[in-house]
Amino acid sequence: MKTPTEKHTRPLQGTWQVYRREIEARMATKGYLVSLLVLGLLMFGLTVGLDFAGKPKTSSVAACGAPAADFGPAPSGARLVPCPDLDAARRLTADRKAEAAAAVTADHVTVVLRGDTPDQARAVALALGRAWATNHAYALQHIDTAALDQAVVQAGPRLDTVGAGVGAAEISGLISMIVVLFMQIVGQGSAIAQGVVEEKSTRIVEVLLATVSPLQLMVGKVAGIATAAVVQVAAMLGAMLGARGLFPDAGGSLPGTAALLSAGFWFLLSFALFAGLFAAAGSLVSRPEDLQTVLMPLVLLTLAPVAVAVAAVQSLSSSWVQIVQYVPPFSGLLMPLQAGAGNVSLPQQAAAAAVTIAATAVTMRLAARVYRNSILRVGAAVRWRQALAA
Amino acid sequence: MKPLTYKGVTKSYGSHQALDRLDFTVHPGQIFGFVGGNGAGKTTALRIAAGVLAADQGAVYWGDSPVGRPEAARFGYMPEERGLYPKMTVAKQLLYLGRLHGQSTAQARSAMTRWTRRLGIDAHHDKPIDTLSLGNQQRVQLAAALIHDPDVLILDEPFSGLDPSAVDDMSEVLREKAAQGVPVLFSSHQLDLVERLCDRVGVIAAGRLAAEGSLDELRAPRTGHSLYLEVEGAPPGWPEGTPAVASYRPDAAGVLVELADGHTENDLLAEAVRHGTVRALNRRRPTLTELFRDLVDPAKDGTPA
Repeated sequence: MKTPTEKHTRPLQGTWQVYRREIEARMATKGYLVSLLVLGLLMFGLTVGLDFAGKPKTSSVAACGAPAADFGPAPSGARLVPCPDLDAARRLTADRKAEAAAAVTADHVTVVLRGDTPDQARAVALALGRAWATNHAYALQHIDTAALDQAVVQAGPRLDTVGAGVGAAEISGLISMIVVLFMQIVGQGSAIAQGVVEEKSTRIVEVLLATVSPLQLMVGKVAGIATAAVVQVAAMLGAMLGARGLFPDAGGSLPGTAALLSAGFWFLLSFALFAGLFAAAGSLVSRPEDLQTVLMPLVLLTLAPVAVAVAAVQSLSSSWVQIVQYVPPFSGLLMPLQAGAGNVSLPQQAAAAAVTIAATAVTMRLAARVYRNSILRVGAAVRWRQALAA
Repeated sequence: MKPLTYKGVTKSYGSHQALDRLDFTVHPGQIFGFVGGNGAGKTTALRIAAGVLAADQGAVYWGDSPVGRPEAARFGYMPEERGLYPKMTVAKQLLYLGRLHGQSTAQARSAMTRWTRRLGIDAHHDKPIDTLSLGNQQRVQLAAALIHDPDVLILDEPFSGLDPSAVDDMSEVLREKAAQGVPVLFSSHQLDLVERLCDRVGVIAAGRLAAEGSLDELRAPRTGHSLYLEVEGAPPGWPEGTPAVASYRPDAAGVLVELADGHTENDLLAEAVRHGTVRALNRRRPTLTELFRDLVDPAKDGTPA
């Protein structure tokens, strides 16, 4: 019967075979590869696009009736358009060839605006007008403007930047990215639950359980789907980092590389924390259409850290955040946020990770118990309490 | 080859006792039919032997070893509720199950080719399961149980839903495996098939083994209605009050009678001739169906006694 080279199923071999099938069933499909490509392109485009969106806009402002030098140095974000007089200034502004204008007539300057002139252009035109008026006044008072400028330069001001604070825009970018990752946990967690209920509803699970244990089956399935999820997230992060490499100025409002890697690490930990519970939820029902009912509480639990993070971002250094950042599942969102803001050290992150890993061991144990006690029970949905008590 | 032995196997679901100290053995080369009513405990008993469920007390042994994961991996199991991945092709499905049982890909491929040819489904290798007819899906399911050339076969209702040609193929495979020394245990409601195929039969009722033995042993006259008597001209109910009759029930044109202790056929005959002309007196060997009915639900046999 048994050939000499044949061997009994070892625990890891069973898990490996289940994992391998999941990988083949999910990743070796056109749909998955296309979604990978689309997500990568989307993140690349967003990163580059955010750069252009985040850059300050340049306004065209007309400087009329005097040489450009009389208006002083052009303010940043302004492109000066020379023109001969006030009438020309009005025409240029009305025809939208300039957003605003500063026009000199005889001994005074007029600022020309439209009703919809952007604030930045309005400020530039007013600054140009004020500069010409000041220079004109200095000339009337016979002041040596060259000496005055030199004295001002010597007196300052000088810039002195302290601390390693991160801009609000960067924190917002980091929050958006972590929320996207948490949505991935919900999406891929639901895929795990669907995979489990598919095996239950098609009854193949009984054939499989004659060969592998419930724990092997659950771990192989969760690991396979997790791999598909991680590859997807890696493609997204890779596209963002690639866009940064190709366009060094791209994604100015996105978090730095270290913050991205920290977010990726905490995504993995948070996914591991919830993955087993999603598998257990799938084992409670016998039909795919019953899945939403058992998934809803789990989805709410998964998204709870997002609400906490929104509250915490107002004051990342407040005392309650300092405590909650170590508590799973909130640490999954708060820690990368704090890391991005430079508020936590590596040992602090390691301590929070250790707590999350311990919590993951507990959820996996509970999930395995629920899965083992529910996977062969066909019919009405099994309650969590029944499955745990059985 | 080693025997498969149930020793005191007991299992409960909450307050419901599904199995109560089940004891029997399936010897190498033997085909053992497991019959019983719905909910009698057949599926639970087979699931425990296949390693899908754990017994509360007692154990199933393969030779001298209690069946654990390594032992169960050498068993071929076909559950009552057929199950395969509907979108996976026949070949991929069987290769996967072969590898799960510890075969290399090459071994699994060779076994897949052999069994699909043997079961007449080799033309469907690359078709997803849900595109096959029900009969062919059943054949794939059987191939899934045989892919690793198991040392024990455990099949739950293997004939359910099969057409006559598939029943013949399935029967032939079971006989073939038994001839190779494999203990074969299967459950079925199709008692004619059990009668035709099995060397031994176990009847389970309410989780307990009500009877077990070879067909001849089971059908041997016991303390049941084993004498058939036809008396022309006798009034209905004539055996009532007859000292030689312990109990009786009407059957066809006569009655089935159980003799009272200390009486013989002669005593019964002497009584019968007083009521009319005796046209027939013979020993009745019950069919498996009759036996099943008596053992599983004796209250329904209409015995007035």
